[in-house]
Amino acid sequence: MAEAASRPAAEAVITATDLVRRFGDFTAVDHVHVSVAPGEVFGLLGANGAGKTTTIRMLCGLLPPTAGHIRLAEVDMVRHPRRARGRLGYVTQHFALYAELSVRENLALQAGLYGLSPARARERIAWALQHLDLEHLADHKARALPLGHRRRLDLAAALLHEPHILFLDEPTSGVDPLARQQFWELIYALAAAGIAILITTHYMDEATYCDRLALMHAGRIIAEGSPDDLLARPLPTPLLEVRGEGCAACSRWLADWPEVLEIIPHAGYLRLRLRPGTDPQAVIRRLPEEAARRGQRVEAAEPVAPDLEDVFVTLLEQDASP
Amino acid sequence: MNLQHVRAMARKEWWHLLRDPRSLALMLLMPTMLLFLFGYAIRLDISQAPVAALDLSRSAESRQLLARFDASHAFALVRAHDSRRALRQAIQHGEVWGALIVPQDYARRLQEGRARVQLLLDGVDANTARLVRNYALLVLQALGEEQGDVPALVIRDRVYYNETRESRLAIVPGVIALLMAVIGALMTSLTIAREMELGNLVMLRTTPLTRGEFLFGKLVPYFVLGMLDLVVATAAAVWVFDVPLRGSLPGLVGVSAVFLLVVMLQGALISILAGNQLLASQISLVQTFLPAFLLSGFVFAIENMPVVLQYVTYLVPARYYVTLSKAIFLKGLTPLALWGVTLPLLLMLLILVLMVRRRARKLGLLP
Repeated sequence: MAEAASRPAAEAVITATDLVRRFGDFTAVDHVHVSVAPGEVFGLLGANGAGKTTTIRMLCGLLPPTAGHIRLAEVDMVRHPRRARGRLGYVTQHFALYAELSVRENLALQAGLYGLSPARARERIAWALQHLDLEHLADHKARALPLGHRRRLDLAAALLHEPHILFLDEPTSGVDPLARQQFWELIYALAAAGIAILITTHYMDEATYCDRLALMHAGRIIAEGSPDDLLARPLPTPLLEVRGEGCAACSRWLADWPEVLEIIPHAGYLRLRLRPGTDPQAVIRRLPEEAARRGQRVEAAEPVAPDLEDVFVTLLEQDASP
Repeated sequence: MNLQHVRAMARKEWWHLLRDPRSLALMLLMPTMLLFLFGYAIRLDISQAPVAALDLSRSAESRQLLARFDASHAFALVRAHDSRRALRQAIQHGEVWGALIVPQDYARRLQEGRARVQLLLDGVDANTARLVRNYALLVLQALGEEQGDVPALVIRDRVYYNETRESRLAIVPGVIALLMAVIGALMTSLTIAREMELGNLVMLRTTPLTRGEFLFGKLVPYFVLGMLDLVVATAAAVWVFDVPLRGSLPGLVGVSAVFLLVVMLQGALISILAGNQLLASQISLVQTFLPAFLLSGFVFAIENMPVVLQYVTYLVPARYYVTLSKAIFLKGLTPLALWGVTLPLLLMLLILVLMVRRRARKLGLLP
């Protein structure tokens, strides 16, 4: 979905322009633009404190922006918050439903809060229980559910009123990998049904599942595009992977090389980020003999393609030292 | 205000209540417990108080005197003692509440019309000592009149509304005020503070629910339970404690509803300001239970308080309600006839509504 980035803004169902939020002297969100089209999965990435949660809280109407405009499904969030709320679903970072109520009771409450008629409520609750695989747990207290199921209950509650827009604030943090996989399958199914989805995460593998990403740093979006767009950016810092027996020990003397910017140890190999302008081939040629001189062995050293994490690290470094 | 939203909140609150046996028990059992506890425990009258006697006169006259004491419903002569020391000991050990000493020359002086007896009292409980003294005086006065002793001035009293001077009649209506204050304020403050503490408000803030709908939905179930408590307490007052309900039942229900709303709004205000359950429950106990108990005139007459404290009582909603409920139960008055007491209560309701409205912004829900 590389074309998503170039979609005309008029089609977007979430549009935030020039969003600013200050807390006293501190600017948590600094002139952020967000636009998400129906059926699109938009990922907001960044370290803790980068401004992700503040942004999502403003978009949901939990926090009034200091400046800027937010339109959700053609409704001005700041001026008509009540109407806008009927069109969005929000899954909070922490479980915020009622732990003492059963799954079904929690859903019935949500249906009532969104003003669904009794017949419609029954229909939607049945739909949610079935699609989110909660039927067998319908009469269990929410507190008794495993975390993955609790997140699905959150999602079910946010979907009852058929919102056009879904906000997910770190919905998979702490969830086991299998449950995360299932959660993403659900997200794809919802996007396929035309819901615009804005998700924050700090799992890099999850970032690649998004149609479009925005990387936040110090309250600003410093890069935006599809994962492929971002990966296709030429990196100024060449990357090498070094494999060999006991090569973890190599990091001791490699750290002294002026060409090496950073050494990232992995199981069985090292990943080297080289300084901008370095010729990776020259480094590759020098490596085996230097290792041999110290009684170590480098079996293979080769340039590798960057992954999203490499891209983001580079972007963050560039942003920090302009 | 969207009634469907209110109903959804109220239904949820009801489920929570049913799910939490402790709250429910508190709501349903505490009123009855308080009523029985206070109804029987707080006694402002005495009955069959144990009193010792030392008869030094040993005459027909002295025996007649002691027999009168024994026959009175207030006293029971436990046993005759033979020395002052024994009397002192009996009082010291708490065997008796007081002791009567009839001097040796009692019979002779009675003839001369200037008889004396001595009453020893246990002053550790000053209130009881005063009661024993007053009852003893009544017995002696009655006896003196029979024996042709004509005092210069005789008071013939007639007590209205509580002809037998039973303190229970005055206390039970007061207990109803107390338990409504506790149930109303405590439960309300806990339930709202819980939402703030557990983070459920964050979820509610993204829904179209407004502050008013939230508060109404939360208060309705507790209001219903509070009124149920009133019915139970009134029934117990009438049928168990034999307190006459001389005024109108609708009048009582009306002022009780206003009072319940006042204390519930107090609870709501406290919880919004406190933000967590522990603090909210502590403040609401100090703010509602203690004033309702100490400053409402329920046990301690407001007129006997220091002047400063008397002014403070004007700020205590229970003060007005205790006056109203006693007047309706015992005097058969209507709330309208007591407009001077009803009006401040209504005024408090209005002020609290405005204050809660103002503070409810903190909840972060839609206006």
